[in-house]
Amino acid sequence: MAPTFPSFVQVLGRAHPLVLHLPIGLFVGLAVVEALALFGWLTASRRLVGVWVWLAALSALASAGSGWLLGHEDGYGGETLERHENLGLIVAALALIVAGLHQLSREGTRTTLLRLYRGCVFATAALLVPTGHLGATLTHGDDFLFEPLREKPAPAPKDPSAPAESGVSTYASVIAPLLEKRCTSCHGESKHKGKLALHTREAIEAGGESGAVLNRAQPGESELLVRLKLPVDHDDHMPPGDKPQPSAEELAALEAWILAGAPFEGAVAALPAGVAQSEAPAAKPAEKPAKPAPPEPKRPAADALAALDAEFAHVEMQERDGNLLWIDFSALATRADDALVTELVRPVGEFVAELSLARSQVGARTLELAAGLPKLRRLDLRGAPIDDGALAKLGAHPTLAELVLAQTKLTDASLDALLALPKLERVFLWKSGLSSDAIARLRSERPELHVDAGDVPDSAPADAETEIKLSSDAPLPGAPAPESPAAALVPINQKCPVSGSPVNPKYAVVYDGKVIGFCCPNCPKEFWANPEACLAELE
Amino acid sequence: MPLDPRVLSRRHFLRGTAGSLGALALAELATAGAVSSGVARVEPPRRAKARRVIYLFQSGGPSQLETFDYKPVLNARNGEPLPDSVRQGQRLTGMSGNQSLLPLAGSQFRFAQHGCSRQWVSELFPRTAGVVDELCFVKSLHTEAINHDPAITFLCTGSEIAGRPSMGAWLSYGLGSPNRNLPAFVVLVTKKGADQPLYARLWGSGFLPSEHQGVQFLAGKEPVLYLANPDGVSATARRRQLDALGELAKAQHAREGDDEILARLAQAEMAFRMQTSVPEVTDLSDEPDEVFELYGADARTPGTYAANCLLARRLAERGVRFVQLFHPGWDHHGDLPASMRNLARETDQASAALIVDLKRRGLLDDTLVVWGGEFGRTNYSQGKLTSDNYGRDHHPRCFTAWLAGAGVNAGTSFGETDEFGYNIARDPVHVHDFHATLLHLLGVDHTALTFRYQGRDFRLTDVAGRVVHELLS
Repeated sequence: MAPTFPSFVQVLGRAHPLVLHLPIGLFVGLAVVEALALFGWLTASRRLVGVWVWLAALSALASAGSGWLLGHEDGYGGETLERHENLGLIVAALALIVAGLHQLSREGTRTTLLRLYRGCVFATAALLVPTGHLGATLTHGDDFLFEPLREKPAPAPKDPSAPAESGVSTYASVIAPLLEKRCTSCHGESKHKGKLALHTREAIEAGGESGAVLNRAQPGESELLVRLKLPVDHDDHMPPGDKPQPSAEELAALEAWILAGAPFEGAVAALPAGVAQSEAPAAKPAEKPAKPAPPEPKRPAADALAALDAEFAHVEMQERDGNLLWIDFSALATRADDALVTELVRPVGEFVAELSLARSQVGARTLELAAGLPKLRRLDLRGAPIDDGALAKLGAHPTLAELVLAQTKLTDASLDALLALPKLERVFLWKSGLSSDAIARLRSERPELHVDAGDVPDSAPADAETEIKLSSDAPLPGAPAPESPAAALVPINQKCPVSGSPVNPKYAVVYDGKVIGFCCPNCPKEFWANPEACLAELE
Repeated sequence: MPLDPRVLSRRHFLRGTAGSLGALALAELATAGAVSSGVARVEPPRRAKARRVIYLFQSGGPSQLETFDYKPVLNARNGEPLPDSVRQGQRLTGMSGNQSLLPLAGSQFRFAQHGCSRQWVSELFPRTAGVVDELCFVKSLHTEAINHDPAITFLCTGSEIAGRPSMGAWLSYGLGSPNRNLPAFVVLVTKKGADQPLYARLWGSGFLPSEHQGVQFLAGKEPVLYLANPDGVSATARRRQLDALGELAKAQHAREGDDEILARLAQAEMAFRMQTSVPEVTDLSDEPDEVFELYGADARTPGTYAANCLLARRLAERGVRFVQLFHPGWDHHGDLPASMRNLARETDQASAALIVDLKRRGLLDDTLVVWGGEFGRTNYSQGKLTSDNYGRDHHPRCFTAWLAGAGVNAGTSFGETDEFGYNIARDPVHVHDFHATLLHLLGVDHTALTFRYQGRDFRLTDVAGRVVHELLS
């Protein structure tokens, strides 16, 4: 609909809010002067008034013209605009008539023409009131003038017997008022910036220039939500940065409503309590205690992080908006001893989820500290001088799931320390000092535990290609022979129940009194997912 | 954007760029007190599966048909012309396009299924076959370029046109490095006669701040050129010199407010620290004999692929974010069987050893290892097909790579080529998709890691890229 004007013409249009004040002032002044002259309290110089009348008439024309240009820019429309435009045209026409009548009535006095002229002046001044009001509504929003006088609606009386939210439309009670408060002054009945209006259900469903604002397939991707959640200084953020922003509660309410599929009927249960509903008395749930917003996750202290950084220890947040840390000492491994590590890690202890101390010089005191880290999940001690006494300090750590002990100084005595860790899922024991017997015992006592002892895989092909049309010469040296199996357990089966490949006795578990062999350390995992079915397949 | 240079600092700008990814609180704290590192420090928007990458780049375009993409049909129809129904009129390179006959060439090497996962591997790669349960094969990679230069530039930088930042530079810029004594991005090129050139722009920083470019470690006495103090300059003198330089730089920074001054100083300080850390990491004398047995005898010779694999493990152990090896020589237009044998001998054992070695050290859990070249090779013979000799031309329509380690579906194969190994039959993975997936594994949204240059936001995946979730565990 909007014709595209050259930019200088657009500037003329945008001068409308400036220009329009001229005819208002000039006509009001003219009306006062003519009223005084009518009652004989003033003898006006017709020559002076003539200049005045023409100024008023031309400024009214300029206002109407610039207003017409502005009205055809994007973002304006609706009934209010139409009425404002019509009145503006009438005012401009009247202003011209006033000028014409004045010209004709200039010579005589108290003639009919003069009376007609004065009547038109008063009519124009009067008509400027509704015209100006409608214009102001377009720029400042509905009810701008009298809003401060309006009484705030009293909260609904608490009524314990009132029915719960059922039947109440969350849209009508919460969302619509919220949109009206934050959005509809630009995206409403009278103004459709970006060709978008949010004042009615139909308008919301229709969307705007950028397409639909609600995405029912992926509610989280809805434009309405995405724009609100962008950083405030982002170009696409809504409402624009210089406008009042919705509160966290309002945002949460809108999000809950959209994620629930943006229903226009019925209540949304997940709406955060105490939100916006206070502004919509009808929806106020009875006796519902306002839940406080979830507290911001606690953050590690800045000076503790700075101390880690100063020593070149690497600290990384595990994920965005979380507060769990990965701390890696690889840059200072050679000088990271118990004293330094405990000094640096203790102040952020409650946030440490992953601690990499590979190739460091730590011992018992650091493991004592680790035992007290409540969120610790992975501890890497590869190549550190850890002995049985040190490892025992971990005790029964409640969360530790992954433990790297490759290249440490343990003995078989540490088997108990490993068995004591209730949540352990993966352990690396290559060159840890544990004997292959101890590792086999660990595997059979904790079959669900993934034990990596550095076994070199067996590369014998399972099924060689039988026939090939073209032959190759110079076969490569064969794969290394697998290490001799250490386990004393003799499996009952020849083929791996998971893969069907030949059993390697190194990988055996004890189940229901039977020793079951597997081809590799990965297969027992699948076995434990459903042992009975696997066993049935064997028999 | 304010124009006062004192306000328009790069750090300021970087924060603004990274702000769209969110949480920077920690990044701000973590760099407090340190001299500028020029790193965007985009915190991972989701938990990163991989902390570091070792990329074993096989330059020249290794044949998928003699390695991991088993096509018995080619053996059965060896010598028959490539059917038009398979080629579908697609254009060929100038090298074989004018051949009167395009005879299908079967692999001269036997294939066998290996491991629990029963994946097909050619007899050229017995050691790789041994770790096949750790590997995730992608058999449906495809690229847009048909010649080496654009194809390798595309794979390394996401664009066929030279000048964009490389994968490692993007990661250095986006994530920084866990070890500030070593560069975030280290490049190791096998020391051998190369049929195709490998040039520094493949690990360049493009328009990113230059500190993010890959640092090539050379074989020999001086792994990083000009790092050692010149004769007559003692370590103490160098330290005092840097301190004095630092005072001057800080005074200049206070006056002019340009963060590039601090970045330059940070580079000088990094070089000073590398005077200690680089000799330490490149000295293999503390590795026991059994390690050399694992990687192969070549590992004792600096500059070989095996020695570089071992060095890559040592760098990964010390927290280096991205280590990229380049092994040239895979461009087998003719004499393919003999050349493949050589190349396999040079790379098979060490590639597999790297997997074994990372795994037993607990490093494979958070290290991503990638093996692959810049394109594949044709299923027909370039030049004459004889009973024991043939060649293969460039083929961008399908090629195979493998991934191992952090977050990938070990012991699986993704994507399929048709029975002739010519076109992709299922689940194509474009180079942009591959890059998007790699960044995803490192916790980075490929659409969010951007850099504004010449008026628009650039990213590794340009305007494309899909994270191939099917590859991820």
